[in-house]
Amino acid sequence: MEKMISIKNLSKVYKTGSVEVHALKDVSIEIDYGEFVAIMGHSGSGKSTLMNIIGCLDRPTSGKYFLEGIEIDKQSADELSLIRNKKIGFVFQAFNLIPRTNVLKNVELPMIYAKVKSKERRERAMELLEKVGLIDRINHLPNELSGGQKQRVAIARALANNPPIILADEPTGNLDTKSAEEIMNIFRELNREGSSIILVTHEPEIAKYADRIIMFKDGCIIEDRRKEGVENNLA
Amino acid sequence: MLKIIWLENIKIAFQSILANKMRSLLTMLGVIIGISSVISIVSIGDSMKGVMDDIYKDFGENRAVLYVGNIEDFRSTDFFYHEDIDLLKERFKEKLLYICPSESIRSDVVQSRSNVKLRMELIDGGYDKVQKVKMLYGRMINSSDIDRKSKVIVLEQNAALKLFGKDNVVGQTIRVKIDNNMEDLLIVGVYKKEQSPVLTLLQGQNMYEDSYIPYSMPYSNNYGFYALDIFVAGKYSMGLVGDEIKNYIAKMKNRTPENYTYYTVEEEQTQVNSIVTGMSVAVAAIAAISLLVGGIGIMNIMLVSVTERTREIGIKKALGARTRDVLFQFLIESATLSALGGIVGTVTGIGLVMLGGYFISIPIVVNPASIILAVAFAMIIGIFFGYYPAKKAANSDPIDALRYE
Repeated sequence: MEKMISIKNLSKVYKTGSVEVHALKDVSIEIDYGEFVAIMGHSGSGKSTLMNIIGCLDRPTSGKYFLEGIEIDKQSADELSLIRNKKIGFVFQAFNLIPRTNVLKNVELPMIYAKVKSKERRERAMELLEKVGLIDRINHLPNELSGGQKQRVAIARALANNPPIILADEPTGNLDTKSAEEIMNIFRELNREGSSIILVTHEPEIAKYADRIIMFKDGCIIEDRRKEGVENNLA
Repeated sequence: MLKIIWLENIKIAFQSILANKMRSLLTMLGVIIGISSVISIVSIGDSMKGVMDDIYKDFGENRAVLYVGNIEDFRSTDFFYHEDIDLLKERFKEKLLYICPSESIRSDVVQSRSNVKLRMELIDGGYDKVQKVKMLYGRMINSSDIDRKSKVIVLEQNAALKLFGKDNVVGQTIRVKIDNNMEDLLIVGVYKKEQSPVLTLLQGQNMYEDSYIPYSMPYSNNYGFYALDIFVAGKYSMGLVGDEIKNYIAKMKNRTPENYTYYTVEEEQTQVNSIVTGMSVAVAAIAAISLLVGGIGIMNIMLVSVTERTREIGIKKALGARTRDVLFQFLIESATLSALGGIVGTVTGIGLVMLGGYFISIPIVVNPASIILAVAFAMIIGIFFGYYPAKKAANSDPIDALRYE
């Protein structure tokens, strides 16, 4: 069966003036449905670049990236928007909620672009906010929430269109230890329910929640290991 | 399906306009001033036209006045005598509906204890065929009155009321002074004067009450009139008939046509219209400049808004907004902003004109088409000047936008 994510000989080169920076060098990875993967590495290791490419926000310089069998670098900008909308749920370090827009509307946003009807949107958003324990905060504005609460709203938003992949970029980077733990437990739970989670982090404590850890250094994978006893959730 | 995005975008537009109330208001100011000045000047023009049209209608659009034009060089023979009028009547039988000396006689009338100042207008039989006269009692002056030089009079309702305390006074006589002679005139009819309120306003306080008498009655045949009142038959051109009459009378009097003046409202109407049109063009130019400035203001603030919301745009793109979703969001925002300005401007403009109209008691004409046009035009300005900032937002790269602090 086809893998969810299949990356072959992928390279990314940034040009800043006359200097070329090789952010990714000939990287190949496969990630399957139901996996909980942590991508680790120091800053500048290329993990964020990979994250952007997996999230269809950026394109590789060379190599191939297939997401559910779709060759991503052949798609137009608007097609990529559609793919991000349907297939990827983003969770960012800085939460990235829309300011001046209440919690409910924030969660509804991906469904607006998916052209879900208003009533359905509302119901789905309420359901998700219930799941992350914020049902009593639906009319609050993002700046009225704590960091942990913001990140839970972001997770609810990421789940809105029921995407196969949750892509979390340092989701606990701006949180205290307790909130970080709560958030990671939500990810664990989501993975148990069948979501595939790709987590980018530099903290080993956070990476421990994942079943598979891929280490990056200078644009190359230096380690790709699974936790003992874990083969594949779907296997 | 696309409707969902539209509706959401309009909501978002209102949200962000309301979030920066002061800024939005200042941005709209240019459009508000532009649109309100256009609306007010257009409706001032329309109202002026309306007033003038009322006046012309009262006067009669097919009416002309022919008078001895050259005051510095005139002879007594230049005036219009009864025989001249009869000749003109015969000569222009088809082209003229009515021709009569344009003159009135003022006299004090004393009846029981009331003293009334009466203005007696000289008319020919058939006056009621060319001007609207609303008879209340009795009859109008007719051609046999003219032929027989009957000593009769038709009173306006107010004159009757003031003289007799009632308006049905047909059969009564009044004594008036004509040409230094006292004459007893038989009242054969009473009419009601109907005049546009604007004209009444412009004429101001009128001390005299109105009435009609046969033109042939007051003076002897060797009395010369200064002016003639003329109504031209509908199918003939006012101007051409005027030239013909002037030529004819000049030839008859051994003078040049320049010794006579032929006045019609048509000429005046053309003049007023050209003034109004000229004014409109000038205002349109000023309005275009102020709307241009307003549009640039909108563009400026939309650019600021796009920069401020770079991160928001990045988030939306990451979550699945396409280029055109972002483009529409900002276009709708700038169109909403300027349309709001247009609406506020329209209301302000109409308000100002109505206030002015109220103080000088002139009926205000507001053309609904100009309102729709103004708001639509404001919206077009918003879309035109909002396009560049919106395009800039729509084309931003989501990674750069997300990284933006």
